[in-house]
Amino acid sequence: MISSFLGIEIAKRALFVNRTALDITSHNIANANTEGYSRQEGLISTTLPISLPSVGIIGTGAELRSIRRVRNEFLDIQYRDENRIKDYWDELKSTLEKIEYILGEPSDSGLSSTIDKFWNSWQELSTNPESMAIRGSLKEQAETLLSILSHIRGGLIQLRDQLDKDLVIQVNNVNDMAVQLGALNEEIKRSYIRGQSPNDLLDKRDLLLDRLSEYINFDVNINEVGEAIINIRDHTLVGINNKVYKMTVLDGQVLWDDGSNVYLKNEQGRLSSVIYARDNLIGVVDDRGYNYETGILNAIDRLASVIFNRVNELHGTGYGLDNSTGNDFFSLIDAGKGVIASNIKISDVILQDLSKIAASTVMDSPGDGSNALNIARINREFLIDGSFTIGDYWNNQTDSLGIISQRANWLFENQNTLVDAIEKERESVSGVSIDEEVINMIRYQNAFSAASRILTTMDEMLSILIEKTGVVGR
Amino acid sequence: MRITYNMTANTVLRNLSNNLTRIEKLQDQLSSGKKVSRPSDDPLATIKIMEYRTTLSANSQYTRNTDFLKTELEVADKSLQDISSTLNRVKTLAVRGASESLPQSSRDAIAEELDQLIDHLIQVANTDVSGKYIFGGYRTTIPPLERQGDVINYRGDNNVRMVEISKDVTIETTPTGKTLFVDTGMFEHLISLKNALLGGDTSQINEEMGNLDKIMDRVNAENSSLGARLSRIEFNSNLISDKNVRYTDLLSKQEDIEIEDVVLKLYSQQNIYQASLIAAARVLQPSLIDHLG
Repeated sequence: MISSFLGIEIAKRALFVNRTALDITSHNIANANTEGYSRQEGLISTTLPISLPSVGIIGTGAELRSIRRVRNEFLDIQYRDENRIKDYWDELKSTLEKIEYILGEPSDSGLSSTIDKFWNSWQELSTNPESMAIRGSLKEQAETLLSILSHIRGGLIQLRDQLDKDLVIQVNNVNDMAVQLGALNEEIKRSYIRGQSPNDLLDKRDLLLDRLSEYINFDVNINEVGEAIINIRDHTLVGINNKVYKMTVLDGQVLWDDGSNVYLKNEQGRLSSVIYARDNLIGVVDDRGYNYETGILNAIDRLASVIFNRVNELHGTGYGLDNSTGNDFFSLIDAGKGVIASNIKISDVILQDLSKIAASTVMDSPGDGSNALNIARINREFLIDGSFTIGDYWNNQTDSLGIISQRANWLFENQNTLVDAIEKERESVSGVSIDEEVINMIRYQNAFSAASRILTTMDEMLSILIEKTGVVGR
Repeated sequence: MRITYNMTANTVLRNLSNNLTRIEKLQDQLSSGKKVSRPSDDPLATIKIMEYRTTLSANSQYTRNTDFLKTELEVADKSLQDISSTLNRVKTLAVRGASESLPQSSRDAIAEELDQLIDHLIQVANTDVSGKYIFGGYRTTIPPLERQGDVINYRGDNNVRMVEISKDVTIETTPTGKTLFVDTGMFEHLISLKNALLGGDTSQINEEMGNLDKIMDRVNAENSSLGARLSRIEFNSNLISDKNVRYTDLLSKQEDIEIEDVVLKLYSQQNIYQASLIAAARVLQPSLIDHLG
């Protein structure tokens, strides 16, 4: 025998289930444009049936078992791996773009053209060594060359300093994210212990992990209480019980709090990119205690010192209009620093008296421009590595950067397409489809209406029982 | 595959932005006229552009050197011709002065004219090209010849100035006063001739006439070698201007856009952009909601 009120109970359950399902739909629609949101769906199942002897088993309605988020964890891992590479190239590409901009080639006013013009001025002097006007224009041309050298070097140093600042900002971001992840872990753990799935918190944590993947390579392990344990190589960033290990930047190096190095070499992500660009492409120079052989900063200093030394060497052997000899054409601005691109000026002796520019190889020979010609011919000497002229060396340096930059552009584009594709796949699984939600809405609405109708029917049936029964003959 | 509104929206957005990027790049090329604005645009072209620029820059200097040298050598050429014709005039005078029948007063008059011709020769030898005394060897800032009575001093040296007219090709400029005036003993002989005229010493006059021929030979020899240099320079400057034309063309091919090509690409890109806008408008608008009561 079953209760006469079972029907009402079933209808009540139907109303509840469908109304809640409509709430989920509403939540989905509300979050259709929320970043990182995974659509949720209610798992509706039948309640425990009642066994009626000699009749069979009768159903008792439906209930909402759980609300789950629709998400593919495998796509998350894929996304983070590829996204890290994408952002590595993105960062590198934009740094290279800046370096190219600083170098300013190819152009009529770039370093390459200015060096050409500098040699031309010596040629010009060699044909008219007596002319003070030509000496004057040689001086101007030399000053233009020095100012471009110093401008390029200054720009590179500025960019390097900017990268240092970027690194600090990025490390701070990583630390912030680690702190937020630790806090989310705690909240998620509390729900897990209660046996619930905190979908929105999980979405938030996944979004943070996506963002973290921009910066650094890491492993995530979710433990049985739902905490995400994050390791970078064999060092923990976020551990159990909200234990967060932060990073710091010291002397341009990224270190863990315990002083060990954060492993960043060839790991992709923005942090690696910044360090690679700073140390290998630009090249930190000795004012920080390291001296890299590679890098454009090293190249421009090398170029400047070759010009400085060779011009001085030849100039010292020649004679000026006043028979002065042994003078340097270039000198250092700050004698304490070495021959670097931003530390060169025209020597004071020459600046005070242009007739001391040593165009001649013989004394008493105002008409002899052969020393000036010798200096002009430096442009064809293989002064660098025994195989490069000064001009070739610079062209090569510029061009190698161009090749790296072009490659970075390509790789970024490719990687971007790949990440887009994964994102699309992820959106396909987890994204909210308005059409779908509207259809669900109609479904639940219909079911709700039908359940209400059943309730009304039950009510009418019962009222017949209550009001009409036992009043026969009254 | 399950398609959501956001996927469509993102795809549309990405495509629109890609199309705009392409349009922007083409517009950039059109307004700058250049295909390569930084090395990564085309590293291969970049290195060529830089090399061609260097060659062109060196060439423009060689052109200047050549022009300068040409001016000087043309002046030197005229001067040598002047010296040659002056010496011819001297010879004519000497022939007249050698005649036994000529009265001494006429010889004195000839000697007077000869003296003026010597002055003229000195003036020619002291020719300058905008302040540069070309016959003084390396000593170009002072007039190379200086007359003190019957003594004419050479104050230059024996170094021939050289000018580079193309890579590693140098060429001699004006011959020095040493070879022309000192080594030939030109002025000593002319003074000696003058004294012979004044003294009526016809045998000495005849002897100096012989010397005069040798001097003229030497001057003419220098003049013809100078002429040879001038034609070599002329040839070289043709080479340079040919090279200039060739390299300017090469540079332009690497560096400059072909306007028709870029304009055409821009038009088609704009069409694509228009089409993608229309597609976006059609795809993005409808939703089931529009059709529910």
